[in-house]
Amino acid sequence: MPDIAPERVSTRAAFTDALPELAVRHGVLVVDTDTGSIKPTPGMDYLNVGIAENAAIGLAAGAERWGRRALVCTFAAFSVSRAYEFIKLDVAYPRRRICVVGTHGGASGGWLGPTHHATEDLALMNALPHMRVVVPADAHQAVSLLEQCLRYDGPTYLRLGRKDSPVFGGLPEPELGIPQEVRPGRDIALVATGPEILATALEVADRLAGEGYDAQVVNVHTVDPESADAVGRTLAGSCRWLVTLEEAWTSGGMGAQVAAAIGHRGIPWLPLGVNGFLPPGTHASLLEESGLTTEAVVGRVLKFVTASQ
Amino acid sequence: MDKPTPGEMEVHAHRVREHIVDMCSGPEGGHLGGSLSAVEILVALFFHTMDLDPADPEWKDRDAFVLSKGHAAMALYATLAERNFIEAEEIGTFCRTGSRLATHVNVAVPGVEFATGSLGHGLALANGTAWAQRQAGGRPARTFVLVGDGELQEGSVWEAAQVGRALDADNLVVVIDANEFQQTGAVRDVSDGAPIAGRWAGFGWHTVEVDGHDLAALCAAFDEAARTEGPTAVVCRTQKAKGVGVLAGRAVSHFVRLDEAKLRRIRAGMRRPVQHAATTEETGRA
Repeated sequence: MPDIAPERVSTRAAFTDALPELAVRHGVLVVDTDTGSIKPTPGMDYLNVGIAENAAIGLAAGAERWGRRALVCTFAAFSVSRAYEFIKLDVAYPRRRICVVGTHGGASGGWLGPTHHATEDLALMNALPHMRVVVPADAHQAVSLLEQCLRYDGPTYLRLGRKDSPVFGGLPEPELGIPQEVRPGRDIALVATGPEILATALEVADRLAGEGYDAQVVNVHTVDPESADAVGRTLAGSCRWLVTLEEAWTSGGMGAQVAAAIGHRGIPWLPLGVNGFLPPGTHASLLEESGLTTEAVVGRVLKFVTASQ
Repeated sequence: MDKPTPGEMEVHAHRVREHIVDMCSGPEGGHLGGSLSAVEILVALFFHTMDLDPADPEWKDRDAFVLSKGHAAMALYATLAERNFIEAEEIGTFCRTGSRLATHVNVAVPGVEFATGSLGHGLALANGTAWAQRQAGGRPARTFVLVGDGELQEGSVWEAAQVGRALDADNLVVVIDANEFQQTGAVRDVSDGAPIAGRWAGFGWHTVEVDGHDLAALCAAFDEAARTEGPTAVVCRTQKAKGVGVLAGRAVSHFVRLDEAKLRRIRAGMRRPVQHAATTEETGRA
Protein backbone atom coordinates (compact mmCIF):
# COMPACT_ATOMS: atom_id res chain seq x y z
CA MET A 1 0.00 0.00 0.00
CA PRO A 2 1.45 3.42 -0.95
CA ASP A 3 2.78 5.59 1.83
CA ILE A 4 3.81 9.20 2.19
CA ALA A 5 7.57 9.40 1.58
CA PRO A 6 9.78 11.46 3.86
CA GLU A 7 10.98 13.77 1.07
CA ARG A 8 8.95 16.43 -0.71
CA VAL A 9 9.42 17.36 -4.40
CA SER A 10 7.72 20.03 -6.48
CA THR A 11 5.71 18.75 -9.45
CA ARG A 12 6.71 21.94 -11.26
CA ALA A 13 10.43 21.25 -10.68
CA ALA A 14 10.02 17.70 -11.93
CA PHE A 15 8.36 19.08 -15.07
CA THR A 16 11.17 21.61 -15.57
CA ASP A 17 13.80 18.88 -15.37
CA ALA A 18 11.99 16.34 -17.54
CA LEU A 19 10.58 18.53 -20.31
CA PRO A 20 13.65 19.22 -22.48
CA GLU A 21 14.40 15.57 -23.20
CA LEU A 22 10.71 14.67 -23.66
CA ALA A 23 10.03 17.65 -25.94
CA VAL A 24 12.91 16.73 -28.23
CA ARG A 25 12.03 13.03 -28.21
CA HIS A 26 8.42 13.67 -29.18
CA GLY A 27 9.05 16.63 -31.53
CA VAL A 28 7.04 19.06 -29.43
CA LEU A 29 7.16 22.83 -29.90
CA VAL A 30 7.43 24.44 -26.46
CA VAL A 31 5.72 27.82 -26.16
CA ASP A 32 6.50 29.72 -22.97
CA THR A 33 4.86 32.81 -21.51
CA ASP A 34 7.85 34.08 -19.56
CA THR A 35 7.16 31.68 -16.69
CA GLY A 36 10.73 30.81 -15.76
CA SER A 37 9.66 27.16 -15.57
CA ILE A 38 11.36 26.08 -18.81
CA LYS A 39 15.08 25.41 -19.28
CA PRO A 40 15.54 25.45 -23.06
CA THR A 41 18.24 23.18 -24.42
CA PRO A 42 19.87 22.94 -27.86
CA GLY A 43 17.68 20.99 -30.21
CA MET A 44 14.47 21.97 -28.42
CA ASP A 45 12.02 24.13 -30.39
CA TYR A 46 11.38 26.84 -27.80
CA LEU A 47 9.53 30.13 -28.20
CA ASN A 48 9.12 32.50 -25.27
CA VAL A 49 6.41 34.81 -26.61
CA GLY A 50 6.40 36.92 -23.47
CA ILE A 51 3.49 37.72 -21.20
CA ALA A 52 0.90 36.96 -23.87
CA GLU A 53 -1.25 33.93 -23.07
CA ASN A 54 -3.80 34.37 -25.87
CA ALA A 55 -1.03 34.78 -28.43
CA ALA A 56 0.74 31.73 -26.99
CA ILE A 57 -2.29 29.47 -27.29
CA GLY A 58 -3.06 30.78 -30.78
CA LEU A 59 0.51 30.29 -31.95
CA ALA A 60 0.56 26.72 -30.66
CA ALA A 61 -2.76 26.03 -32.41
CA GLY A 62 -1.48 27.44 -35.69
CA ALA A 63 1.71 25.38 -35.52
CA GLU A 64 -0.32 22.27 -34.68
CA ARG A 65 -2.55 22.88 -37.70
CA TRP A 66 0.69 22.72 -39.70
CA GLY A 67 1.66 19.39 -38.17
CA ARG A 68 3.56 20.25 -35.01
CA ARG A 69 2.56 19.01 -31.56
CA ALA A 70 2.89 21.80 -29.01
CA LEU A 71 3.02 22.49 -25.29
CA VAL A 72 2.15 25.88 -23.82
CA CYS A 73 3.56 26.69 -20.39
CA THR A 74 1.72 29.25 -18.30
CA PHE A 75 0.66 30.01 -14.78
CA ALA A 76 -2.64 28.13 -14.28
CA ALA A 77 -4.29 31.36 -13.16
CA PHE A 78 -3.55 32.96 -16.53
CA SER A 79 -3.77 30.16 -19.07
CA VAL A 80 -7.17 28.87 -18.15
CA SER A 81 -9.19 31.95 -17.28
CA ARG A 82 -7.53 34.55 -19.46
CA ALA A 83 -7.01 32.44 -22.57
CA TYR A 84 -10.11 30.30 -22.07
CA GLU A 85 -11.80 31.30 -25.31
CA PHE A 86 -8.61 30.60 -27.28
CA ILE A 87 -8.36 27.21 -25.56
CA LYS A 88 -12.03 26.51 -26.28
CA LEU A 89 -12.06 27.52 -29.96
CA ASP A 90 -8.49 26.94 -31.12
CA VAL A 91 -7.51 23.90 -29.02
CA ALA A 92 -10.55 21.95 -27.74
CA TYR A 93 -12.93 22.40 -30.68
CA PRO A 94 -10.46 21.18 -33.35
CA ARG A 95 -9.02 18.59 -30.90
CA ARG A 96 -5.48 19.81 -31.36
CA ARG A 97 -2.56 17.87 -29.97
CA ILE A 98 -1.65 20.59 -27.53
CA CYS A 99 -0.78 20.25 -23.86
CA VAL A 100 -1.54 23.35 -21.81
CA VAL A 101 0.54 23.30 -18.64
CA GLY A 102 -0.64 25.37 -15.69
CA THR A 103 1.84 25.83 -12.87
CA HIS A 104 0.86 27.30 -9.47
CA GLY A 105 -2.36 25.25 -9.61
CA GLY A 106 -4.97 25.46 -6.87
CA ALA A 107 -3.87 27.47 -3.85
CA SER A 108 -0.18 26.67 -4.34
CA GLY A 109 0.46 30.28 -5.34
CA GLY A 110 0.16 30.97 -1.61
CA TRP A 111 1.39 34.42 -0.68
CA LEU A 112 1.32 35.48 -4.34
CA GLY A 113 -2.33 36.05 -3.52
CA PRO A 114 -5.73 35.49 -5.10
CA THR A 115 -4.62 36.96 -8.44
CA HIS A 116 -2.27 33.97 -8.72
CA HIS A 117 -4.47 31.26 -7.20
CA ALA A 118 -6.17 28.94 -9.69
CA THR A 119 -9.11 27.23 -8.04
CA GLU A 120 -11.38 27.54 -11.06
CA ASP A 121 -9.17 25.72 -13.58
CA LEU A 122 -10.53 22.20 -13.11
CA ALA A 123 -14.16 23.29 -13.51
CA LEU A 124 -13.43 25.40 -16.57
CA MET A 125 -11.33 22.75 -18.29
CA ASN A 126 -13.82 20.01 -17.39
CA ALA A 127 -16.48 22.02 -19.21
CA LEU A 128 -14.62 21.66 -22.52
CA PRO A 129 -15.42 18.66 -24.73
CA HIS A 130 -12.35 16.60 -25.71
CA MET A 131 -10.13 18.13 -23.00
CA ARG A 132 -8.28 15.69 -20.75
CA VAL A 133 -7.68 17.34 -17.37
CA VAL A 134 -4.70 15.94 -15.49
CA VAL A 135 -3.54 16.55 -11.93
CA PRO A 136 -0.54 14.36 -10.98
CA ALA A 137 -0.41 13.08 -7.41
CA ASP A 138 3.33 13.69 -7.07
CA ALA A 139 6.52 14.58 -8.92
CA HIS A 140 6.99 11.09 -10.33
CA GLN A 141 3.46 11.01 -11.70
CA ALA A 142 4.00 14.51 -13.12
CA VAL A 143 6.79 13.28 -15.39
CA SER A 144 4.95 10.14 -16.45
CA LEU A 145 1.70 11.98 -17.16
CA LEU A 146 3.57 14.79 -18.94
CA GLU A 147 4.93 12.29 -21.43
CA GLN A 148 1.47 10.72 -21.82
CA CYS A 149 0.01 14.17 -22.53
CA LEU A 150 2.70 14.85 -25.13
CA ARG A 151 1.80 11.59 -26.88
CA TYR A 152 -1.98 11.95 -26.51
CA ASP A 153 -3.97 12.39 -29.71
CA GLY A 154 -5.86 15.48 -28.55
CA PRO A 155 -5.89 18.38 -26.11
CA THR A 156 -4.71 18.03 -22.52
CA TYR A 157 -4.39 20.26 -19.49
CA LEU A 158 -1.67 19.42 -16.98
CA ARG A 159 -2.07 21.14 -13.63
CA LEU A 160 1.09 21.42 -11.57
CA GLY A 161 1.93 22.99 -8.23
CA ARG A 162 4.59 25.46 -7.25
CA LYS A 163 6.74 24.49 -4.26
CA ASP A 164 7.70 21.11 -2.82
CA SER A 165 4.77 18.78 -2.25
CA PRO A 166 4.27 15.22 -0.95
CA VAL A 167 5.75 12.22 -2.74
CA PHE A 168 4.30 8.72 -2.41
CA GLY A 169 6.21 5.48 -2.13
CA GLY A 170 4.65 2.48 -3.85
CA LEU A 171 2.20 4.43 -5.99
CA PRO A 172 1.57 2.49 -9.21
CA GLU A 173 2.52 3.96 -12.61
CA PRO A 174 -0.28 6.29 -13.69
CA GLU A 175 -2.20 5.69 -16.88
CA LEU A 176 -4.03 8.68 -18.36
CA GLY A 177 -7.75 8.44 -17.59
CA ILE A 178 -7.48 5.50 -15.18
CA PRO A 179 -8.05 6.16 -11.45
CA GLN A 180 -5.94 4.33 -8.91
CA GLU A 181 -7.12 2.60 -5.77
CA VAL A 182 -4.28 3.30 -3.37
CA ARG A 183 -5.91 1.87 -0.25
CA PRO A 184 -8.71 -0.70 -0.23
CA GLY A 185 -11.71 -0.12 2.01
CA ARG A 186 -15.37 -1.07 2.31
CA ASP A 187 -17.36 1.75 3.91
CA ILE A 188 -16.26 5.21 2.89
CA ALA A 189 -14.64 6.15 -0.43
CA LEU A 190 -12.16 9.01 -0.14
CA VAL A 191 -11.58 10.14 -3.72
CA ALA A 192 -8.65 12.54 -3.87
CA THR A 193 -6.87 14.72 -6.42
CA GLY A 194 -3.42 16.33 -6.11
CA PRO A 195 -0.40 15.76 -3.84
CA GLU A 196 -1.41 17.54 -0.63
CA ILE A 197 -4.95 16.25 -0.88
CA LEU A 198 -3.97 12.63 -1.51
CA ALA A 199 -1.63 12.79 1.50
CA THR A 200 -4.49 14.13 3.59
CA ALA A 201 -6.84 11.41 2.36
CA LEU A 202 -4.38 8.66 3.34
CA GLU A 203 -4.00 10.15 6.83
CA VAL A 204 -7.75 10.56 7.15
CA ALA A 205 -8.26 6.90 6.22
CA ASP A 206 -5.90 5.88 9.04
CA ARG A 207 -7.79 8.06 11.50
CA LEU A 208 -11.19 6.75 10.36
CA ALA A 209 -9.97 3.20 10.96
CA GLY A 210 -9.58 4.17 14.59
CA GLU A 211 -13.22 5.29 14.57
CA GLY A 212 -14.37 1.95 13.17
CA TYR A 213 -14.75 2.90 9.51
CA ASP A 214 -12.93 1.08 6.69
CA ALA A 215 -12.08 3.83 4.19
CA GLN A 216 -11.01 3.27 0.61
CA VAL A 217 -8.66 5.86 -0.94
CA VAL A 218 -8.70 6.50 -4.69
CA ASN A 219 -6.21 8.74 -6.48
CA VAL A 220 -7.87 10.52 -9.41
CA HIS A 221 -5.11 12.06 -11.52
CA THR A 222 -7.36 12.52 -14.56
CA VAL A 223 -10.38 14.48 -13.40
CA ASP A 224 -12.38 15.12 -16.59
CA PRO A 225 -15.90 13.78 -17.24
CA GLU A 226 -14.49 11.17 -19.63
CA SER A 227 -12.62 9.60 -16.70
CA ALA A 228 -15.42 9.80 -14.16
CA ASP A 229 -17.11 6.53 -15.16
CA ALA A 230 -13.85 4.73 -14.43
CA VAL A 231 -13.79 6.27 -10.97
CA GLY A 232 -17.25 4.86 -10.42
CA ARG A 233 -16.04 1.40 -11.40
CA THR A 234 -13.10 1.72 -8.98
CA LEU A 235 -15.29 2.44 -5.95
CA ALA A 236 -15.88 -0.51 -3.64
CA GLY A 237 -19.25 -2.13 -4.30
CA SER A 238 -20.00 -1.93 -0.59
CA CYS A 239 -19.19 1.79 -0.41
CA ARG A 240 -21.88 3.65 1.59
CA TRP A 241 -20.45 7.16 1.57
CA LEU A 242 -18.55 9.12 -1.08
CA VAL A 243 -16.18 11.91 -0.09
CA THR A 244 -14.40 13.81 -2.86
CA LEU A 245 -11.41 15.99 -1.97
CA GLU A 246 -9.75 18.50 -4.26
CA GLU A 247 -7.84 21.76 -4.19
CA ALA A 248 -10.35 23.52 -6.40
CA TRP A 249 -13.76 25.10 -6.37
CA THR A 250 -16.16 22.19 -6.09
CA SER A 251 -18.55 23.50 -8.77
CA GLY A 252 -17.51 21.52 -11.83
CA GLY A 253 -14.31 20.07 -10.38
CA MET A 254 -13.34 16.43 -9.99
CA GLY A 255 -16.00 15.63 -7.40
CA ALA A 256 -18.80 17.03 -9.52
CA GLN A 257 -17.81 14.76 -12.40
CA VAL A 258 -17.63 11.67 -10.19
CA ALA A 259 -20.94 12.47 -8.51
CA ALA A 260 -22.61 12.94 -11.89
CA ALA A 261 -21.22 9.62 -13.11
CA ILE A 262 -22.39 7.56 -10.14
CA GLY A 263 -25.48 9.52 -9.13
CA HIS A 264 -27.69 6.56 -10.05
CA ARG A 265 -26.14 4.55 -7.20
CA GLY A 266 -27.64 6.94 -4.68
CA ILE A 267 -24.55 7.09 -2.47
CA PRO A 268 -24.51 10.11 -0.12
CA TRP A 269 -21.79 12.51 -1.31
CA LEU A 270 -19.68 15.01 0.61
CA PRO A 271 -17.81 17.36 -1.73
CA LEU A 272 -14.75 18.89 -0.11
CA GLY A 273 -12.73 21.58 -1.84
CA VAL A 274 -12.02 25.27 -1.83
CA ASN A 275 -14.96 27.54 -1.31
CA GLY A 276 -14.71 31.13 -2.45
CA PHE A 277 -11.68 33.31 -2.98
CA LEU A 278 -8.72 32.72 -0.71
CA PRO A 279 -6.63 35.41 0.94
CA PRO A 280 -2.84 35.58 0.58
CA GLY A 281 -1.01 33.15 2.88
CA THR A 282 1.13 30.05 2.93
CA HIS A 283 -0.14 27.14 0.88
CA ALA A 284 -0.63 25.15 4.09
CA SER A 285 -2.57 27.97 5.73
CA LEU A 286 -4.88 28.23 2.74
CA LEU A 287 -5.63 24.51 2.86
CA GLU A 288 -6.32 24.91 6.57
CA GLU A 289 -8.63 27.84 5.85
CA SER A 290 -10.46 25.60 3.37
CA GLY A 291 -10.96 22.85 5.94
CA LEU A 292 -8.69 20.47 4.05
CA THR A 293 -6.32 19.50 6.87
CA THR A 294 -6.42 15.93 8.16
CA GLU A 295 -8.00 17.02 11.45
CA ALA A 296 -10.69 19.10 9.75
CA VAL A 297 -11.53 16.46 7.14
CA VAL A 298 -11.87 13.71 9.79
CA GLY A 299 -14.32 15.91 11.66
CA ARG A 300 -16.31 16.76 8.56
CA VAL A 301 -16.45 13.14 7.38
CA LEU A 302 -17.59 11.83 10.77
CA LYS A 303 -20.29 14.48 10.95
CA PHE A 304 -21.41 13.63 7.40
CA VAL A 305 -21.45 9.89 8.06
CA THR A 306 -23.41 10.34 11.28
CA ALA A 307 -25.92 12.66 9.63
CA SER A 308 -26.55 10.35 6.65
CA GLN A 309 -26.79 7.03 8.49
CA MET B 1 -1.49 27.53 -62.25
CA ASP B 2 -0.39 30.23 -64.68
CA LYS B 3 -0.81 33.74 -63.31
CA PRO B 4 -4.12 35.13 -64.55
CA THR B 5 -4.27 38.36 -66.50
CA PRO B 6 -5.75 41.46 -64.84
CA GLY B 7 -8.83 41.01 -66.99
CA GLU B 8 -9.27 37.42 -65.92
CA MET B 9 -8.96 38.42 -62.27
CA GLU B 10 -11.67 41.03 -62.75
CA VAL B 11 -13.93 38.31 -64.08
CA HIS B 12 -13.19 36.17 -61.04
CA ALA B 13 -13.96 39.11 -58.76
CA HIS B 14 -17.27 39.70 -60.50
CA ARG B 15 -18.30 36.06 -60.15
CA VAL B 16 -17.29 36.04 -56.49
CA ARG B 17 -19.50 39.10 -55.94
CA GLU B 18 -22.42 37.40 -57.67
CA HIS B 19 -22.01 34.34 -55.44
CA ILE B 20 -21.95 36.53 -52.32
CA VAL B 21 -25.10 38.38 -53.27
CA ASP B 22 -26.83 35.10 -54.09
CA MET B 23 -25.94 33.67 -50.67
CA CYS B 24 -27.61 36.66 -48.99
CA SER B 25 -30.89 35.54 -50.55
CA GLY B 26 -30.76 32.27 -48.60
CA PRO B 27 -32.82 31.54 -45.49
CA GLU B 28 -30.44 33.27 -43.08
CA GLY B 29 -29.03 36.20 -45.03
CA GLY B 30 -25.38 37.01 -44.55
CA HIS B 31 -22.60 39.47 -43.80
CA LEU B 32 -22.84 41.23 -47.13
CA GLY B 33 -20.85 44.42 -46.61
CA GLY B 34 -17.72 42.93 -45.08
CA SER B 35 -17.69 40.13 -47.64
CA LEU B 36 -17.95 42.43 -50.66
CA SER B 37 -15.23 44.74 -49.36
CA ALA B 38 -12.78 41.82 -49.31
CA VAL B 39 -13.42 40.42 -52.80
CA GLU B 40 -10.41 41.84 -54.65
CA ILE B 41 -8.13 41.01 -51.69
CA LEU B 42 -9.18 37.37 -51.86
CA VAL B 43 -9.01 37.17 -55.65
CA ALA B 44 -5.48 38.65 -55.67
CA LEU B 45 -4.35 36.20 -52.99
CA PHE B 46 -6.03 33.06 -54.37
CA PHE B 47 -5.35 33.69 -58.08
CA HIS B 48 -2.07 35.61 -58.10
CA THR B 49 -0.12 35.40 -54.87
CA MET B 50 -0.66 32.17 -52.96
CA ASP B 51 0.74 28.78 -53.88
CA LEU B 52 -2.19 26.36 -53.49
CA ASP B 53 -3.45 23.11 -54.93
CA PRO B 54 -7.25 22.84 -55.11
CA ALA B 55 -6.87 19.10 -55.82
CA ASP B 56 -4.91 18.69 -52.58
CA PRO B 57 -6.10 21.30 -50.06
CA GLU B 58 -3.80 19.81 -47.37
CA TRP B 59 -0.66 19.98 -49.57
CA LYS B 60 2.05 20.43 -46.93
CA ASP B 61 4.00 23.17 -48.71
CA ARG B 62 0.94 25.34 -49.38
CA ASP B 63 0.65 28.97 -48.39
CA ALA B 64 -1.77 29.59 -45.54
CA PHE B 65 -4.79 31.84 -45.62
CA VAL B 66 -6.37 32.71 -42.28
CA LEU B 67 -9.70 34.52 -42.41
CA SER B 68 -9.56 36.27 -39.07
CA LYS B 69 -12.70 38.26 -39.90
CA GLY B 70 -14.58 34.98 -40.04
CA HIS B 71 -17.90 36.67 -40.75
CA ALA B 72 -16.64 37.29 -44.29
CA ALA B 73 -17.18 33.57 -44.84
CA MET B 74 -19.29 34.16 -47.95
CA ALA B 75 -16.34 35.87 -49.64
CA LEU B 76 -14.07 32.93 -48.85
CA TYR B 77 -16.62 30.28 -49.91
CA ALA B 78 -17.21 32.14 -53.16
CA THR B 79 -13.48 32.44 -53.83
CA LEU B 80 -12.97 28.76 -53.04
CA ALA B 81 -15.73 27.91 -55.51
CA GLU B 82 -14.18 30.15 -58.17
CA ARG B 83 -10.75 28.58 -57.51
CA ASN B 84 -12.24 25.05 -57.78
CA PHE B 85 -11.80 23.99 -54.14
CA ILE B 86 -15.56 23.38 -54.01
CA GLU B 87 -18.26 23.07 -56.64
CA ALA B 88 -19.99 26.30 -57.62
CA GLU B 89 -23.33 24.54 -57.09
CA GLU B 90 -22.58 24.23 -53.37
CA ILE B 91 -22.91 28.01 -53.01
CA GLY B 92 -26.67 27.54 -53.27
CA THR B 93 -26.68 25.49 -50.06
CA PHE B 94 -25.47 28.38 -47.87
CA CYS B 95 -27.03 28.05 -44.41
CA ARG B 96 -29.49 25.40 -45.58
CA THR B 97 -29.99 22.16 -43.66
CA GLY B 98 -27.06 19.80 -44.14
CA SER B 99 -24.80 22.42 -45.74
CA ARG B 100 -21.13 22.90 -44.87
CA LEU B 101 -21.45 26.59 -45.63
CA ALA B 102 -22.20 28.35 -42.34
CA THR B 103 -22.39 32.03 -41.50
CA HIS B 104 -18.89 31.93 -40.01
CA VAL B 105 -16.22 29.87 -41.76
CA ASN B 106 -16.46 26.15 -41.26
CA VAL B 107 -13.35 23.95 -41.36
CA ALA B 108 -15.38 21.21 -43.02
CA VAL B 109 -14.98 23.21 -46.24
CA PRO B 110 -11.81 22.36 -48.23
CA GLY B 111 -9.47 25.35 -48.21
CA VAL B 112 -10.68 26.68 -44.85
CA GLU B 113 -7.80 26.34 -42.39
CA PHE B 114 -9.41 27.52 -39.13
CA ALA B 115 -12.89 27.98 -37.68
CA THR B 116 -12.97 31.69 -37.02
CA GLY B 117 -15.69 34.18 -36.27
CA SER B 118 -14.72 35.20 -32.77
CA LEU B 119 -12.62 38.20 -33.72
CA GLY B 120 -9.00 38.63 -32.73
CA HIS B 121 -7.85 35.02 -33.12
CA GLY B 122 -6.44 34.96 -36.65
CA LEU B 123 -3.12 36.71 -36.19
CA ALA B 124 -2.20 34.55 -33.19
CA LEU B 125 -2.95 31.45 -35.27
CA ALA B 126 -1.03 32.90 -38.21
CA ASN B 127 2.05 33.37 -36.03
CA GLY B 128 1.95 29.60 -35.55
CA THR B 129 1.44 28.62 -39.17
CA ALA B 130 4.15 31.04 -40.32
CA TRP B 131 6.56 29.68 -37.71
CA ALA B 132 5.86 26.08 -38.75
CA GLN B 133 6.32 27.01 -42.42
CA ARG B 134 9.73 28.54 -41.64
CA GLN B 135 10.81 25.31 -39.94
CA ALA B 136 10.38 23.44 -43.22
CA GLY B 137 13.60 25.03 -44.49
CA GLY B 138 14.36 26.52 -47.88
CA ARG B 139 12.21 29.40 -49.04
CA PRO B 140 9.29 29.07 -46.66
CA ALA B 141 5.66 29.05 -47.62
CA ARG B 142 3.79 32.22 -46.63
CA THR B 143 0.89 33.00 -44.34
CA PHE B 144 -1.71 35.67 -45.09
CA VAL B 145 -4.23 36.68 -42.45
CA LEU B 146 -7.19 38.94 -43.24
CA VAL B 147 -8.47 41.16 -40.43
CA GLY B 148 -11.10 43.88 -40.40
CA ASP B 149 -10.55 47.45 -39.27
CA GLY B 150 -13.24 47.05 -36.62
CA GLU B 151 -11.49 43.90 -35.49
CA LEU B 152 -8.43 45.98 -34.61
CA GLN B 153 -10.36 46.95 -31.47
CA GLU B 154 -9.64 43.46 -30.10
CA GLY B 155 -6.57 43.58 -27.86
CA SER B 156 -5.47 40.09 -28.86
CA VAL B 157 -4.67 41.42 -32.35
CA TRP B 158 -1.98 43.66 -30.89
CA GLU B 159 -0.70 40.96 -28.53
CA ALA B 160 -0.14 38.78 -31.58
CA ALA B 161 1.29 41.69 -33.60
CA GLN B 162 4.01 42.11 -31.01
CA VAL B 163 4.77 38.39 -31.13
CA GLY B 164 4.91 38.44 -34.95
CA ARG B 165 7.54 41.12 -34.83
CA ALA B 166 9.52 39.37 -32.08
CA LEU B 167 9.61 36.23 -34.22
CA ASP B 168 10.90 38.16 -37.28
CA ALA B 169 8.16 36.51 -39.28
CA ASP B 170 9.37 37.32 -42.81
CA ASN B 171 6.73 35.08 -44.34
CA LEU B 172 3.78 36.62 -42.48
CA VAL B 173 1.45 39.21 -44.00
CA VAL B 174 -1.51 40.76 -42.24
CA VAL B 175 -4.05 42.22 -44.63
CA ILE B 176 -6.39 44.82 -43.16
CA ASP B 177 -9.74 45.23 -44.90
CA ALA B 178 -10.28 48.87 -43.92
CA ASN B 179 -13.88 49.31 -45.03
CA GLU B 180 -14.44 51.90 -42.28
CA PHE B 181 -17.55 50.30 -40.81
CA GLN B 182 -18.47 47.84 -38.11
CA GLN B 183 -21.86 46.46 -37.06
CA THR B 184 -23.33 49.57 -35.50
CA GLY B 185 -21.64 52.37 -37.41
CA ALA B 186 -18.42 53.95 -38.58
CA VAL B 187 -15.28 52.60 -36.94
CA ARG B 188 -14.07 56.17 -36.32
CA ASP B 189 -17.25 56.93 -34.35
CA VAL B 190 -17.25 53.73 -32.28
CA SER B 191 -13.56 53.61 -31.38
CA ASP B 192 -11.24 55.30 -33.82
CA GLY B 193 -8.25 53.15 -34.77
CA ALA B 194 -6.53 55.68 -37.05
CA PRO B 195 -3.85 55.85 -38.24
CA ILE B 196 -3.98 52.13 -39.03
CA ALA B 197 -0.71 51.96 -40.96
CA GLY B 198 1.01 54.09 -38.33
CA ARG B 199 -0.01 51.71 -35.58
CA TRP B 200 1.39 48.69 -37.44
CA ALA B 201 4.56 50.62 -38.20
CA GLY B 202 4.80 51.45 -34.50
CA PHE B 203 4.69 47.73 -33.76
CA GLY B 204 7.70 47.29 -36.04
CA TRP B 205 5.88 45.94 -39.09
CA HIS B 206 6.69 46.94 -42.64
CA THR B 207 3.55 48.66 -43.90
CA VAL B 208 2.01 49.25 -47.31
CA GLU B 209 -1.22 51.11 -48.05
CA VAL B 210 -3.21 50.30 -51.19
CA ASP B 211 -6.59 50.72 -52.80
CA GLY B 212 -8.12 47.43 -51.73
CA HIS B 213 -10.19 47.15 -54.90
CA ASP B 214 -7.22 47.64 -57.26
CA LEU B 215 -6.15 44.13 -58.18
CA ALA B 216 -2.81 45.19 -59.67
CA ALA B 217 -1.95 47.26 -56.60
CA LEU B 218 -2.88 44.39 -54.27
CA CYS B 219 -0.74 41.91 -56.22
CA ALA B 220 2.17 44.36 -56.15
CA ALA B 221 1.81 44.88 -52.40
CA PHE B 222 1.81 41.13 -51.69
CA ASP B 223 4.88 40.76 -53.96
CA GLU B 224 6.59 43.59 -52.10
CA ALA B 225 5.92 41.86 -48.79
CA ALA B 226 7.80 38.81 -50.08
CA ARG B 227 10.90 40.95 -50.64
CA THR B 228 10.76 42.64 -47.24
CA GLU B 229 12.37 41.54 -43.99
CA GLY B 230 10.08 40.98 -41.04
CA PRO B 231 6.27 40.83 -41.13
CA THR B 232 4.29 43.12 -43.42
CA ALA B 233 0.94 44.82 -42.90
CA VAL B 234 -0.98 45.67 -46.06
CA VAL B 235 -3.64 48.26 -45.26
CA CYS B 236 -6.36 47.99 -47.89
CA ARG B 237 -8.65 50.99 -48.30
CA THR B 238 -11.97 49.40 -49.22
CA GLN B 239 -15.66 50.18 -49.41
CA LYS B 240 -18.18 48.20 -47.40
CA ALA B 241 -20.61 46.38 -49.77
CA LYS B 242 -18.48 47.44 -52.75
CA GLY B 243 -20.28 46.81 -56.03
CA VAL B 244 -23.84 46.96 -54.70
CA GLY B 245 -24.80 50.58 -55.31
CA VAL B 246 -27.70 50.96 -52.94
CA LEU B 247 -25.83 49.50 -49.95
CA ALA B 248 -22.22 50.42 -50.70
CA GLY B 249 -20.44 52.42 -48.02
CA ARG B 250 -23.22 52.00 -45.49
CA ALA B 251 -23.19 50.29 -42.07
CA VAL B 252 -26.62 48.84 -42.80
CA SER B 253 -24.96 46.46 -45.28
CA HIS B 254 -23.25 44.61 -42.41
CA PHE B 255 -25.82 41.81 -42.33
CA VAL B 256 -28.45 41.58 -45.02
CA ARG B 257 -31.14 39.19 -46.17
CA LEU B 258 -32.30 39.78 -49.72
CA ASP B 259 -35.74 38.75 -50.92
CA GLU B 260 -36.23 37.70 -54.53
CA ALA B 261 -37.12 41.17 -55.76
CA LYS B 262 -34.14 42.81 -54.09
CA LEU B 263 -31.82 40.12 -55.34
CA ARG B 264 -33.01 40.65 -58.91
CA ARG B 265 -32.57 44.41 -58.66
CA ILE B 266 -29.09 44.11 -57.19
CA ARG B 267 -27.95 41.49 -59.68
CA ALA B 268 -29.25 43.64 -62.56
CA GLY B 269 -27.33 46.64 -61.27
CA MET B 270 -23.98 44.89 -60.86
CA ARG B 271 -21.55 46.15 -63.50
CA ARG B 272 -19.93 43.34 -65.44
CA PRO B 273 -16.28 43.62 -66.39
CA VAL B 274 -15.65 44.28 -70.06
CA GLN B 275 -13.96 40.95 -70.64
CA HIS B 276 -16.83 39.01 -69.11
CA ALA B 277 -18.84 38.45 -72.27
CA ALA B 278 -15.84 37.16 -74.23
CA THR B 279 -14.59 34.77 -71.52
CA THR B 280 -15.51 31.13 -71.74
CA GLU B 281 -16.45 29.10 -68.68
CA GLU B 282 -13.13 27.21 -68.84
CA THR B 283 -10.79 30.19 -69.03
CA GLY B 284 -12.83 32.14 -66.52
CA ARG B 285 -12.49 29.47 -63.90
CA ALA B 286 -8.71 29.20 -64.33
